[in-house]
Amino acid sequence: MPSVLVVEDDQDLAEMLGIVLNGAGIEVDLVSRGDEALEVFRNNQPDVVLLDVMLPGFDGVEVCKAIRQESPRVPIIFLSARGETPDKIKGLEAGADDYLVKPMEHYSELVARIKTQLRRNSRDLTGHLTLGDLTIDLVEHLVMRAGRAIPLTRLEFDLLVALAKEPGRVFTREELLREVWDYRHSADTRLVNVHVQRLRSKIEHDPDNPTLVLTVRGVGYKSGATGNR
Amino acid sequence: MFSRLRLALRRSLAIRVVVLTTTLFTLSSGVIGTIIFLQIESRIIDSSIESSINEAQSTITAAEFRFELIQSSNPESVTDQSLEEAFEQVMALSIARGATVSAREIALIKSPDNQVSDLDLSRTSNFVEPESISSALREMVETSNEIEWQRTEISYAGGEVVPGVAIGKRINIAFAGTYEMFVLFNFESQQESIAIIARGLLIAFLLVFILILSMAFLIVRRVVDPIRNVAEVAESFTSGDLSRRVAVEGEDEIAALGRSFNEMAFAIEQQISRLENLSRMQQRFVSDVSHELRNPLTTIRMAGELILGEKDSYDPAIARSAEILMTQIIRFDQLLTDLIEVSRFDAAVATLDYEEIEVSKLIRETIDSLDVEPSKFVVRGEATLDGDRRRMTRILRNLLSNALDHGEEREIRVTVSERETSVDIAIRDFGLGLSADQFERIFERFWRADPSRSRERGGTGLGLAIAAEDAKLHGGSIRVFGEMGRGALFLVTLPSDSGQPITDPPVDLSQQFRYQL
Repeated sequence: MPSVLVVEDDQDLAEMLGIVLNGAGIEVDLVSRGDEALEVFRNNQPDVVLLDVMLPGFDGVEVCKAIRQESPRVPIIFLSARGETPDKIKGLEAGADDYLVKPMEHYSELVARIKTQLRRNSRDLTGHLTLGDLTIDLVEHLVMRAGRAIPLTRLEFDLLVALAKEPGRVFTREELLREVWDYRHSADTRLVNVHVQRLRSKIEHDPDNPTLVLTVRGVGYKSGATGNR
Repeated sequence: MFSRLRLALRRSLAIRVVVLTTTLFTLSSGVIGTIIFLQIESRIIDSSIESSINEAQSTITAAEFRFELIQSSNPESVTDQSLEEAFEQVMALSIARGATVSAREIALIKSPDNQVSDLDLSRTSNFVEPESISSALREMVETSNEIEWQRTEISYAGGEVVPGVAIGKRINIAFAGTYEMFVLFNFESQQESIAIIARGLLIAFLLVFILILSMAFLIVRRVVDPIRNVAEVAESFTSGDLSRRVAVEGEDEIAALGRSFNEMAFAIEQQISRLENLSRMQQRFVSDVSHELRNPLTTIRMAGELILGEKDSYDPAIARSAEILMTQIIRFDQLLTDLIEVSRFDAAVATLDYEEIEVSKLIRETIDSLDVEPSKFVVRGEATLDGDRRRMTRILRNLLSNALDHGEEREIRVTVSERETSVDIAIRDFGLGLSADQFERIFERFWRADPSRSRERGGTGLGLAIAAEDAKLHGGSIRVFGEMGRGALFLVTLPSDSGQPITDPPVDLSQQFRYQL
């Protein structure tokens, strides 16, 4: 049974989240303080982390950064009462994969978001892709450059694979939201922007002049400099 | 050039003062200088003429005396040659005499009415042209027995011309008849002195002119510069830099101006920072309320959804209660969201995230999200603009929901048209319509055209108010026109480029309303 670590200081909301997620077949660990979250994370090794932003003890954004350092790959979802763009960007830049604003349209939306992140862990692809001087191992979920692995989050890996799978094809932000995040309705396209930036900072030689993930002005993104042209 | 000068005069106090001062100085000193110059000149010339006349008098008298010696001699011994000799003697004598005033020339010219002798012994000294003596003077001399004079130009055969005075008298010469004797005095030196004086005056004028000019500049700078400084500080103060202050020096009126300005600026800055503080607190409060309300709301909503999910297993009354509970939770949620948005507008903290938007595509997406039969809508036209996607979606959603609510199930037409600097989105329904006195009120918060009817349609009563604020935030507007029973037309006008003003003339709504009837 997949497990989710829920970090939420509102006891009733946390319990309600537990009921809903349990009902969807997901095991839930509850933590109500930010400073306790990291320890529980280490002990329980959950498949997904669901984080509130305003937490006693340790701010949600800080918790997110700490977990990201601990594990570059575990999916992290923010669940916040603050839906302003700067708040979202702050959360995403701290390393979160998705950002949900309370209250959700329906709790099934939350379940769907978590399941999307869980699927990331069990996607079965085979073979290799190359992009520029990068080698992408789809089986081992590894990105290599000159024999060295570049640590990417699962989301960043999926984003890179989505782009590299069809070299040269221009993806709109909406298409990437659907492909990588599984958003069926329109969502905040800033999600894509922030993660492309983060991906670039890890794989590009010069993130300010990207050669691997290129921006197509007014449209979206595409992969460039493919090795197997 | 001229108009630029006029503009500069109107714009700058400094230029005006300097120009005025120098003009007044030039005029007054010009008049005074001219008077002084003319007086000096006439004094010099007059005294020269006076002494010249005296000298000429004695010279002519001496010449007459000399000629009288001829008269007393034996008539037989007087020949043409001896006459000529006498003339030469007189000439030489006259030239040599005195010379206290200045160099002189002599002219002896035979009178036209001289019948005594055929011999013409007219002559001048040093090749002076006889034309140096004007015919007017000669006439005067011919008709008078007194000494006559006139200012003249003495011209020599060599072409040289010098200023001077010609003084003449008729003399009677025995055996030779009537001659006119002229003594011409050269006034070159006097003229030179006058020129020196004129030059001196001019130089003095120029020096004083420069002095006055620089004094005017200095005074103007002392006075105008601080004023200009105050004006400049006031301008940057107006454009938002509240920390700017005027540098105050001294105790004079200008210092007082600077001081009062600074006091005013200080008072305004304090007041504004107080208001800013209030607005920050308000903003904080709104933000905290939103957070505090949202957590319980999220819990309630999830619980409600869970309960409603099981309604088939309930008693019908409880199942219906669960439904009502859920509807009201959703309404509460919407109301909270809208209230937070309105407070954000009131606190002026709402911001725009611009991106390029294909308007009709966004309209279709919004229609899809409304969860109604899309064929009720007819969308025409296409345009792109720089806008905030979330806010534009909300404008469209609110206007389209409003059209659905009041559209009496009839067709709803959405027309997009691109103009020079703006994009128009017209939303036309053919439902209940509204009357002219409702055009303004419809954008008021919680205002309902028909309280009893609209309440059951749901909606928070804030939708149109928020849409109007959203449009205003973009620098655009929403206007409305309608007639009772014939539907309504909402026209959203948004600038094409972010932050650019709309220069297109506003559309005539009533005309467009009838055109789409």
